[in-house]
Amino acid sequence: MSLIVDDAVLTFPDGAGRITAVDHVSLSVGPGEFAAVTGPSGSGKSSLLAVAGLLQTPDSGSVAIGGRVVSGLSRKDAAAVRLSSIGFVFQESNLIASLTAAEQLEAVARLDGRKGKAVQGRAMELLEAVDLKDAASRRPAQLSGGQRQRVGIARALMNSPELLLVDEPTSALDSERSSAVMRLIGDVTRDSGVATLMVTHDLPTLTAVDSVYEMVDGRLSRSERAEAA
Amino acid sequence: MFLGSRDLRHAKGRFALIGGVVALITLLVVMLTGLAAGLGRESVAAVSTMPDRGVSQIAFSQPAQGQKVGFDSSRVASSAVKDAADQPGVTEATSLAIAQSRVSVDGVRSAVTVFVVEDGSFAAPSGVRPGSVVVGSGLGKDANVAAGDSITFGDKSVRVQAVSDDASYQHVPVVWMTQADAKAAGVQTAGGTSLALLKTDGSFDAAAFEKQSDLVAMTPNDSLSTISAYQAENGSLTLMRVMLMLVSALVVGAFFTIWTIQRTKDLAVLKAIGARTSYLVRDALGQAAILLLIGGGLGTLIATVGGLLARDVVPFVVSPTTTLVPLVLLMVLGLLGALVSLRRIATVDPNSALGAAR
Repeated sequence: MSLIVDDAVLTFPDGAGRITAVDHVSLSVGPGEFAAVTGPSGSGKSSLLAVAGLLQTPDSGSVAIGGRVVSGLSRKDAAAVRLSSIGFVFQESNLIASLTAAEQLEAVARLDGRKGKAVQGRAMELLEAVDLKDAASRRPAQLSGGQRQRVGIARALMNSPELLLVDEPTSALDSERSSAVMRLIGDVTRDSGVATLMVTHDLPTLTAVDSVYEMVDGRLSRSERAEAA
Repeated sequence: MFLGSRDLRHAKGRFALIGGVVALITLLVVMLTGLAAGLGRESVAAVSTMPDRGVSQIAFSQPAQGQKVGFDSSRVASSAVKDAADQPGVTEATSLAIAQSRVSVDGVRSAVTVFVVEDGSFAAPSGVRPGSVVVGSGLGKDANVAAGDSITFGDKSVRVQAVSDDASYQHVPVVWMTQADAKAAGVQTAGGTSLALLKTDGSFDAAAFEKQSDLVAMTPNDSLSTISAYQAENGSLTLMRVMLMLVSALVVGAFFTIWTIQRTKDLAVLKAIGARTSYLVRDALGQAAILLLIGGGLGTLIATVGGLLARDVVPFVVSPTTTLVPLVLLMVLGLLGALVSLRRIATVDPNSALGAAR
């Protein structure tokens, strides 16, 4: 399995006590599998994503990526794992305003110390895969919402990650563009063999996913939608 | 500096504005530095250039009660100069008397400071001998005096052997002349400043010299601090320069503080992707260095050109010390200001890149 979350618990301070955002959650996503976690706002979806993405260290339990337990690493080591093994697709794409589409991708490689023709070639290849080769020199302000999200997907794949974590990718898109983005994530998951975990509450777009989980009050359960799918 | 250079290109207006402020501050600092050096040169050049002629120590008399040792109070008798020459480590000693006087050139009278030396003194500029004097270039400009002309002290005329850029003391042109000529010209040295100029070797010990000769010896460079007018003038200008440099560091620091706050979301995304804090700080420091180099370089260039154009009218020195050194100091202080503000990068939480993060 590319991602295994085993009995993870994450709590936050809440006044005098603590609130449990992730409550003994176990989950596994294999290579080429597209898993989605749904649930109402405040159910702990993004907290689970933060635990899986090494942005939060769980109070207990573990996270393994590519067979290696990576929870509990130092901040520096966790950043290195994120850079090499995890790709993030953020809500509203979160592109850097000063960079062109191609540079958004190049920047990720540069964080890893790589640059040059090979990096530029890889960036163009990924932009072509998301049908944005012609927009390579455009900045985020010159792209539509759907185009920005496609650049975000291409950026997440730049370092050939084992795990793709997707945070509400369609929250700022209309239904047509939402469906297109979801199809694209499904395609890249299968084509590149990456394990994809997405959190969303955009239920109508879940047709492209392989498995669906539901999260309520920090607890994760297999959704009936998954059985239906 | 992949990210920083793109920011510079993208946010041209903001960076041009802060670059302009850096350029203006640098312009002021370089102009003040050049002016301070020019004024300082006019104030002490006749003393500060003495080492070029072999003067390694200047010996002053012990000050009277309530006075400080130095040019303002020194009265060294000729017998004390002879005694000084016999002290260990002293290879040669000669006297110097400093007096104020007036000269006439074609009927126009000008104030001068007269440096009276023994005939053949090693400390005098080349060309000073009975009947011949060396004058400061200030007199050359004021009274249109050139080498070969004559200047008159009362009834005594002497020939100008040379005009020197380094013959100036307390903003007044210096006339170097021999004791015999000074006496003939009626220059009053009695009661004025007198001191001993020493050539020394490696065995010279200032403490032992003071004990045995009852004179206080210091290097020409150290002795400048005993000229009270020079100290006050130089101190004021130095204070202004230091304040401007601190303002520059604060301005750059404040700009990068605001800039970092504006970039918080981008920084969180980059950290979530896997960027190290050290990478982001290095990138931003590179950006600050370019900003300081362009802004500071422009300010230095304008000040240098202005100084070159103005130096015939105002005392202004253009040299690497007065242009490049202030630029480097401003850059270092600006980078320190930026570095302090960029510590904020370390506090950006990558988790905040997730839309619904707590």
